Amino acid sequence: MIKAYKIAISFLIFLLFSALGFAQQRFPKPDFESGYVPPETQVPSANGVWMEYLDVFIFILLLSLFSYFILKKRSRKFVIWGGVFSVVYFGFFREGCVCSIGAIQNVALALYDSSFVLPLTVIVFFLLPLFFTLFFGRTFCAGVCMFGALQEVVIYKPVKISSWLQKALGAIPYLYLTFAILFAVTGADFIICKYDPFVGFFRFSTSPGMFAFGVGLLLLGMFVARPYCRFICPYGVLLSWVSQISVKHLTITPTDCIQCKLCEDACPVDAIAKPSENVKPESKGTRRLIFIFVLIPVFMLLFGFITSRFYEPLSMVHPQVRLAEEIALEKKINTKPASVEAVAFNSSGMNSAELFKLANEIRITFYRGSWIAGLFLGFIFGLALLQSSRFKRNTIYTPDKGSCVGCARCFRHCPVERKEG
Amino acid sequence: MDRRKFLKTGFQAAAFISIASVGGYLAHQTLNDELVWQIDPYKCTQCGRCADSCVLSQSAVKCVHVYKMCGYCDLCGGYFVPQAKELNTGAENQLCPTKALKRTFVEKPYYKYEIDEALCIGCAKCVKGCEAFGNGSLHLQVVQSICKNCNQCSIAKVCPSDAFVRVPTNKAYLLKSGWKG
Amino acid sequence: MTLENKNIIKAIAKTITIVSLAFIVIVSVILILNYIRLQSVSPESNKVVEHLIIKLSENSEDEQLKTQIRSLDLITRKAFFSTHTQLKAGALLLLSGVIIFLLSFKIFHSFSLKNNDHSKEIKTDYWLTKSKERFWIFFISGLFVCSAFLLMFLSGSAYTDFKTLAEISNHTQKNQEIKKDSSIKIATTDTIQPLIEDTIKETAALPLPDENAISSNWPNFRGPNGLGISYHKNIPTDWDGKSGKNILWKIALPLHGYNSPVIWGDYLFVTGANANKREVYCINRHSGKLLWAKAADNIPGSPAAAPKVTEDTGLAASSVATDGKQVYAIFGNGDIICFDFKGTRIWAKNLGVPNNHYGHSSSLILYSQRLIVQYDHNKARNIIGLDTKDGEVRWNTTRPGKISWSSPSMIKKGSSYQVVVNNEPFVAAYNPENGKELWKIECLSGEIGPSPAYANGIIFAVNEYAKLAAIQLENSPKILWENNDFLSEVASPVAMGEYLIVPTSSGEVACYNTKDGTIFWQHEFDIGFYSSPIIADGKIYLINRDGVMHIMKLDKIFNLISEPKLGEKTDCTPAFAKERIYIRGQNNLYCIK
Repeated sequence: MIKAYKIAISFLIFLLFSALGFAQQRFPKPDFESGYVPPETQVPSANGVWMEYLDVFIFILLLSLFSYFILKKRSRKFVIWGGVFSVVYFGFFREGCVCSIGAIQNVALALYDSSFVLPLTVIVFFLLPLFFTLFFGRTFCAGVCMFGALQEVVIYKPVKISSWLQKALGAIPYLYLTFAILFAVTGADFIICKYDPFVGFFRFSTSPGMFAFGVGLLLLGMFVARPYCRFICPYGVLLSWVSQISVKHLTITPTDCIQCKLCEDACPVDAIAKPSENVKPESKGTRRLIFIFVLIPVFMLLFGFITSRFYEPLSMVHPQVRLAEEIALEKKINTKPASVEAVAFNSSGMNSAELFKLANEIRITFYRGSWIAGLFLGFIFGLALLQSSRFKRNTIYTPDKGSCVGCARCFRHCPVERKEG
Repeated sequence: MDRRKFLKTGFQAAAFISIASVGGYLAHQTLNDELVWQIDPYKCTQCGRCADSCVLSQSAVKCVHVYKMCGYCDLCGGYFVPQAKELNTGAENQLCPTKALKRTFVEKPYYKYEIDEALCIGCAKCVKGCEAFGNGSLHLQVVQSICKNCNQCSIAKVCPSDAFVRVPTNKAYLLKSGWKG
Repeated sequence: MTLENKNIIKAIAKTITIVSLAFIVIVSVILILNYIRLQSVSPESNKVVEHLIIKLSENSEDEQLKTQIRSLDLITRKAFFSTHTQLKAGALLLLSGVIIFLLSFKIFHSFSLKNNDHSKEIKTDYWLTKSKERFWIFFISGLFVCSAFLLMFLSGSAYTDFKTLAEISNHTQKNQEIKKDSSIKIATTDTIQPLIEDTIKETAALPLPDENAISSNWPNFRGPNGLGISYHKNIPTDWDGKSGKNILWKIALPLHGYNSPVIWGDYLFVTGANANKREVYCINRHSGKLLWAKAADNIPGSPAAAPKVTEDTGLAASSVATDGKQVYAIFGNGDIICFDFKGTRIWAKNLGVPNNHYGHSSSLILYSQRLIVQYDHNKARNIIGLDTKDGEVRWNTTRPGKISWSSPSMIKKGSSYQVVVNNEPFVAAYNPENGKELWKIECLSGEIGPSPAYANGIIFAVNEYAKLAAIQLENSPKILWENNDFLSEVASPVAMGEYLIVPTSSGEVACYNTKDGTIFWQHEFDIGFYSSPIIADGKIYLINRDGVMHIMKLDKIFNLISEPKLGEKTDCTPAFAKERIYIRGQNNLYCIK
């Protein structure tokens, strides 16, 4: 009998202990006598999927309307008001995320790492503007993109920038795109989102630095039209590629160009190509073209080599690598962990060898990635040189399809349009 | 001229096919639901960064209380500072910097603790106290009605314990439901 | 529209533009000031209030001070939240100001628009422009390339070679290979060179432990090799803690701890800890004089707050280990520290705060120049070999299975030693020289507290609600027999010759035949056992949780010799020396003659 009693007791103790083992429950659930019932925890729910579907719907609608009004209706008014709507809806109402520009990173990461799943909205926001651009030119940039719209409305007196400065500054988007993809693929950071100048306006909350950057860009944008679109935007790089081969594109004049030169200064983004009738092809032009063409692989290797030399500092952007460096330093000089990360790591019980192994793997990815990034940049460099050596035959005033953002300003400068309107 | 046109059509077709195939590949691994950010309470180390790393001036991370797990203690580790001399609501005894935790008497010896969400800044001080001395019923969560669902959550980027995860909207909260398993 | 109307609209637009611009400027200035103010009012760290609270802790009755704290705190919070609201409102005002400005400015601007004058045409040379472009493309990229090259040469490699470091941190299995191939072809930097040198040095076989010195002392938990056997004679059998009968001395220990005393020569070591302090005590075992008490503090990596542990484990559950020159102690927060016998700190480090729901309780054990730490987390179960000289990790092996609270024992097979560890579901042995797993057998389950016992080539492992397993230690060890009549939960079994003693938490003691698992005898006491039995001088010494020692003959029949009382509860295992027993009670340490 005593034995049975003891077994029962020890069983109870065991139950208590096993509960402890799982729960660390220090205090038992109270036994309320007053009939008090613990309430359920209330948590406000997220907006749900339907809101995202609405976003997708409005996005498609705006793209179609912009394409229709720019190409068919030739309406500058729609570009302005449609842009205002886009800023209000996607900007102030939906507060900026996710946008097509930032979606580059998600898509790049998803393509590289198949375990990273994408919601439908991200795919739509990334791909649809490319499709529309392939058919109608960069109508997305005109005003569907809230950044484009925001900059469009602040343009005051756009000045012309000399073409060489444009070329030089035009390199930034390529660099930005390359490194944004490198950092996204390696899982280091989403730099496009991190250095987004305008999203803070939509949320009424931003860091002082980013706020100054955003305001500065808008002030600059009064005189240098669309500085973000032309000299920063990485998505613009992709759109400009696609736009160059677009099936249809807006034309300055609704019918035939009478070469009145009235539209010459109309374009705020310097995207009007002049007729080249009086220009004769250069005699050594062809030889130079061939020379540059042959040199492209050399440029690629050179750029690849140089960029790959910097894979170690580049990898420091990755938090895991930074942590590993810190832990290695701590081990070396035997100090107390300084950062919150190091303290958290030490308490996680993870083996430092595992961390070093992981950091090493990330670094190897960076090494390969920076090689590829360098090769790409070298290729772009070669293309830019080719572009600047090529003779483009042109008989009328026509938009440069790559850099035209479809703002529709040039329409009203055309006397043919005015007569017809 | 014909050759040029042919080339152009070729480029167009190539661009179309590549965009479509990227789309197809991505659609193949897409999700029918949207993803939102959330904190895994079991990974959280209560470092306090949630309070000031959010893009919003007042963080979208706030403390929630799972009443089912609460011990309703008189001496609450999440409410009182460890050296509290008296168990009253005096500012010198409270752990919460914004006094967002409300203490109400239920019955002897139990007290109910509620969070005033408007006041909570997500500093995790009470969470730390509850984890250390209590049942761990207080914990941090991303409040989805406030969160802007940034593409790259700026708190996730600085979270030392990788406690930030993306969850589908239909399971937008990772509340502690029971005892740690 | 008449000209007059136009002029009126233009004037209105101009006024609105100017007013809204002024408005924008004013709101922006206010916002910036507000923002700066917000940086200074953070309720999270309010220096003034913090200072006052510290002042209050010195005089907790000061009502005036309390009122001051409360009002100051309220002011700070009010300022914090109102500044936030103001910022938000200000931003909205600013936005509306900007919209009004843009609209009125556009209207004003549209009236003052003049037709563009296209008469003066700027002549641009097509090819000149192109060649300028090329020049700039070259110039910019050239700048990029040159500065990159310059950077390359200027900055030396300040980055760690993780590959090598990972290999070295994980060189458990690699030692032998490195030894074979001394011309290792890994790129080394200054950071790693010393590590590699140490690694190579370390591969030389360690000297064998001094068996005589170990068996004549009590160098770790459960005595020589952690097997619960004392080799001393004339052990006392009669005392009384209350009356002081046969108590040589009794001292109170400053801090509490469940760790057991450890003895070397004239010295006795114990530790104690609470949430804030961790201390190691050295006591003259003849006089009971506290020779030194050293705090384990200022340790790199040591957490600011102690991890949560259960009351019955505490933060000083692990017993110390000593090699006669130095003493090593580990605490529940992962701090591990080494002192010499004079109390000088030799080295200290933190092994990472253990994620252990009861608290770390495995004791230390030594093998030659290696301090062996069974370091179990919920996430990882490691057995680590530290260098006694500097505390560097010489090897670290992750064990399969689950967390355990038992301690490792050192078992000699042939001329070499094995570290034997119990954890669910394995009993496993490791080479103390390099941490290599020698063998493992699946036989245990649950949350394991008891450590292994050993006699005549048979290892005994037991856990409550699991079973008792006898493992024949051969080249490929196998289970000899199993039984589940009497299973211990906390106390470890002890074995000698043909006898195996298993005490249970409910107060039963069973004596098994080590060869076949038959039971020689069993006896039921009233109080349960957490302390482990020790065999000394042909007797079994087993103290219950109330502090009553049951001294039984190690025989085929149950033969109770005496039951002296300590007069104090205890869960610690006694330490034995020549003609002495040392028992740590809840608060006091006793020396029994």
